[in-house]
Amino acid sequence: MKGKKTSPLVELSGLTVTYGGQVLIDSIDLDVIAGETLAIVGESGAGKTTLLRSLLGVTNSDFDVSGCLVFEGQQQDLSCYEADGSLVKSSIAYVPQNPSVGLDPLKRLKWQWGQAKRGAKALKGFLSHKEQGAEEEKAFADNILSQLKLKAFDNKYPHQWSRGMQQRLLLAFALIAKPKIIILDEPTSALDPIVAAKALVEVTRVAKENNISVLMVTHDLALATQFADRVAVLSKGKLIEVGTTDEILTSPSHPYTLNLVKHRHWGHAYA
Amino acid sequence: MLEVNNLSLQMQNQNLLEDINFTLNRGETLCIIGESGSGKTTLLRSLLGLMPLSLGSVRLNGQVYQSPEKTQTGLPSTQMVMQDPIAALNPRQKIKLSIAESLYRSSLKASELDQAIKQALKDVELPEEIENRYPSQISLGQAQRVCIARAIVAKPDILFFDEPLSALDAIIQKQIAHLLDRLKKQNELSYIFITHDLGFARHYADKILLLNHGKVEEYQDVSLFFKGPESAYGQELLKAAYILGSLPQKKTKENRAA
Repeated sequence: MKGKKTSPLVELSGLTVTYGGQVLIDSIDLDVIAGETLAIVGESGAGKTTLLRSLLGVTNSDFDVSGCLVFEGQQQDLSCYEADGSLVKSSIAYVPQNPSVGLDPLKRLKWQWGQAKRGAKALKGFLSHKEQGAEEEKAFADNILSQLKLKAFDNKYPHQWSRGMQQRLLLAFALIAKPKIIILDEPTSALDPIVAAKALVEVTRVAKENNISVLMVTHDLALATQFADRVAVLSKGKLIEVGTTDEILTSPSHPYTLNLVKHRHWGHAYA
Repeated sequence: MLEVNNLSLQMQNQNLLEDINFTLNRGETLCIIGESGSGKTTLLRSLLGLMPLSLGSVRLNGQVYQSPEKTQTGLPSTQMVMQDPIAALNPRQKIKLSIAESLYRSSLKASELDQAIKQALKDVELPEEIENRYPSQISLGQAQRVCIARAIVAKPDILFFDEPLSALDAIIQKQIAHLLDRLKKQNELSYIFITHDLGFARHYADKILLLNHGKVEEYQDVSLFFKGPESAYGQELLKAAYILGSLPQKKTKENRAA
């Protein structure tokens, strides 16, 4: 990634979020390159969620957001950016921390998957008028399911599936819309480690294969460095350091990052 | 010191715990690991007497506690520290009173009680002034230290911890783990941890108890477990921990660079 001149998919500049005189996000500039996995690491209260929500246009209505977002050359003023805009719908997919908030508990999973497929189709501007391309679409959808190792829906409801399966279905929802970027919010916290490891390996692989960027938000630097190409460190609303995973691990420039690096595993700090 | 024999728990015809056996010696740390729903918290609760036992017995300091009614009051000389320290403290009560509650059965005089609270705060490296604050006025890390102070002030033999660090930031986690280690050595305590964090378990445990669907999948010395678990489930868990970075890998880029 380093040295290679790639134009960024997302260019965030001067993002500032304030709430009643309190600065939650302090003029952040951040790029996401197409196809890369970028981890945003920060401790609780660092502003991770606020940053994510600003990208999705779903910040608390009391928050004052300013800054500029350029998405594939298309410019967007963040102060008047809304979640129902075409950008979020067609290019950004969001996978929540807790899979159950992304599923309707009263609808069968098969129906919800169908809904996701119909939604994805609509986004592409009803490209597949009548039967044209239907075969390809079906193959694409089936391929996503098999890549994520999701099999029969069997008329089941969300609660009849494990959290791991639910999480993978949400990843499938994310992938079916052919997004440019997938946002994963604390992807492991709701899952048991065996399931989490499998799901993350799968989604980063599928994303790489399809040149989809992954923006992963986590408090866990050790996790971030396992999966990310680059790591951005957020502290008290400020972006204090961005670098390749190797750079962050071997030569962090900020003392806070150094502290995080030192403490990312057990037994090093006081050895 | 603590001996758990054939402990089982049934509820509504479901086996929540099945034939659990382990021992804990003075000064030892046992980490109970396993995924959610495996029975970790249920096991801890039944040891604390918060849940009745269906079968089996617990021997503590030579005294046998048989199921079901005897354990209802909980084992003596045990204390518990929870996952969410703020939820564990009464929000309308000053820190001082929260700590004092642990000693309500003791016959200490007021001045001795004061002294004990001051000493406990000192032990957990908190400033004395904190005793007059409310839980909402202190940080999460400080609140967890208060919970630890509240537990040790009762001078228990065994401390139970249910994910005591998972609500805290990485750096605070390490500081508190370090504190717990010091307290353990100082007071010859034994610890039983429920944890998801295999890195923590590897570093602080003497023994590992791996639960799966209410049964003991593996009960092993820590070094043997991390050298290579016997069960397929244990192996899978360890593999996941390496993938997720919870355990440092032997041959990663960083190690080569360092």
